[in-house]
Amino acid sequence: MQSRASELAVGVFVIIFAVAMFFLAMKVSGLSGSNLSDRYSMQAEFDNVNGLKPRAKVTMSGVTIGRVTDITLDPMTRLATVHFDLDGTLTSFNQAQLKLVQENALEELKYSTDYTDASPDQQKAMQNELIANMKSITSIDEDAYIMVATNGLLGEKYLKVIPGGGLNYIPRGGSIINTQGTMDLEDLISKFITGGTKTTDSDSSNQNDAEASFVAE
Amino acid sequence: MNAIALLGRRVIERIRGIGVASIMLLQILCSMPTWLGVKLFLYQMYRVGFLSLLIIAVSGLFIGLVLGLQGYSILVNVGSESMLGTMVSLTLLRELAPVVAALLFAGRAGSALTAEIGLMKATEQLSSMEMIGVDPLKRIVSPRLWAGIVSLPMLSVIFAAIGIMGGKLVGVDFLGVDEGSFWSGMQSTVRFYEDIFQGTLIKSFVFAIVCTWIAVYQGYACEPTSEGIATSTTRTVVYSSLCVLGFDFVLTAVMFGGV
Repeated sequence: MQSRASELAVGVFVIIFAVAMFFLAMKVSGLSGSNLSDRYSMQAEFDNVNGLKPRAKVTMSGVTIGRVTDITLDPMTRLATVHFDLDGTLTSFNQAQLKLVQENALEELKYSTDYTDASPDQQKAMQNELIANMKSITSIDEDAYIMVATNGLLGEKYLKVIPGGGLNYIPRGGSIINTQGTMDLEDLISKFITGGTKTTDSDSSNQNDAEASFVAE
Repeated sequence: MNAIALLGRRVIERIRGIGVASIMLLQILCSMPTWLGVKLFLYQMYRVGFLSLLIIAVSGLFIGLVLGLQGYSILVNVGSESMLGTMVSLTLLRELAPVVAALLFAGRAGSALTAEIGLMKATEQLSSMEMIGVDPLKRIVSPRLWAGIVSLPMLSVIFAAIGIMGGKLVGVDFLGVDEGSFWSGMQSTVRFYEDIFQGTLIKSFVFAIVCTWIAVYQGYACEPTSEGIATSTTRTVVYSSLCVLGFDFVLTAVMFGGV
């Protein structure tokens, strides 16, 4: 009988362990896998990503639309390339919206000089190309820009997508061109200190003098 | 001359002890499990693991409560009490849960193991087992060692979970930190692999091997007198605690010290 009771107790012990482990995994580390549905990857190049970490959130208008997956350094441009996954259901148009977007884009095309100068055949080709490009677009337009923002005054860094007003949209897997890296307080202060003199009125002549003297030395 | 010879003998004895303990550990870890071994192991899991549950749960709760209180009173000065969840969970997962659980385990279960095996040796149960052809390493030592190795990581996880609940009780329910920021701050900082798997599970796995190994060896090698048992039991607790704290520094340096 004693071994029966001890086996039961060990069973209870294991169950308590499993519950604790589940609690730690789900509630504490937020390991619900990733709850991005219909995910796809995009990237952007920044001049400074100080403080940004993998798994940081990507937001648009305050809504979390994705997570940073990877940060690499491009050896040629020496810019930081940030890869991030976005939620497809939050960042794409539905059928009706897509039709509207296509109409707007076609309208825009008709007024462009390239279009009016081209022959009817070429016009047709351009329209088809435009429609084909619309197949896998996101709701992020090409004028949108992405910046490294800070949550509160002392909080963690995250990526913020600020929509522009453009009518051309970035396809899935593309990259956001307009970026703004981390704003370091030190940089701002040093810009303020050194940049303050440049805005005075006798600025250009002074600067030329300075340059001349620098070269002479 | 005599004193120098005594010192030399002490050193040689210690080194020989490490050798014997290592061979014992290897023999146990490399031996095949048997059906009887599994039953004995389950019973030891009950004694070593389940019976330690209460002390682990209660101390986990109180440590969580204290962390919540202390963290709140520090963080509220800089107006960032929303970081309380992050602070409580990271402190518990990375350091306090594995270390405190291991120290309690050494005191609660390790000393009992040493005393039990030591008394078996003093009353010549071990040698009579050998006489009838039963290997005391397999029958007595192995199930206890395995039970310790398996149950301490489990106890650490339970400790951390209860501690975090305690921190939440004080921080959110008593002191009024916003519940959403408590959990979301925690979830955005704690990473499953680095903090829970490495920080809690791997660490306490290492501590479990160290603690039970010391306990079992001290019992097995103790002098078969009542004074010898007392010395061995004391040594178990002292050596285990020192080893846990030392290994904790090494493991933390390896896991979190790098860039």
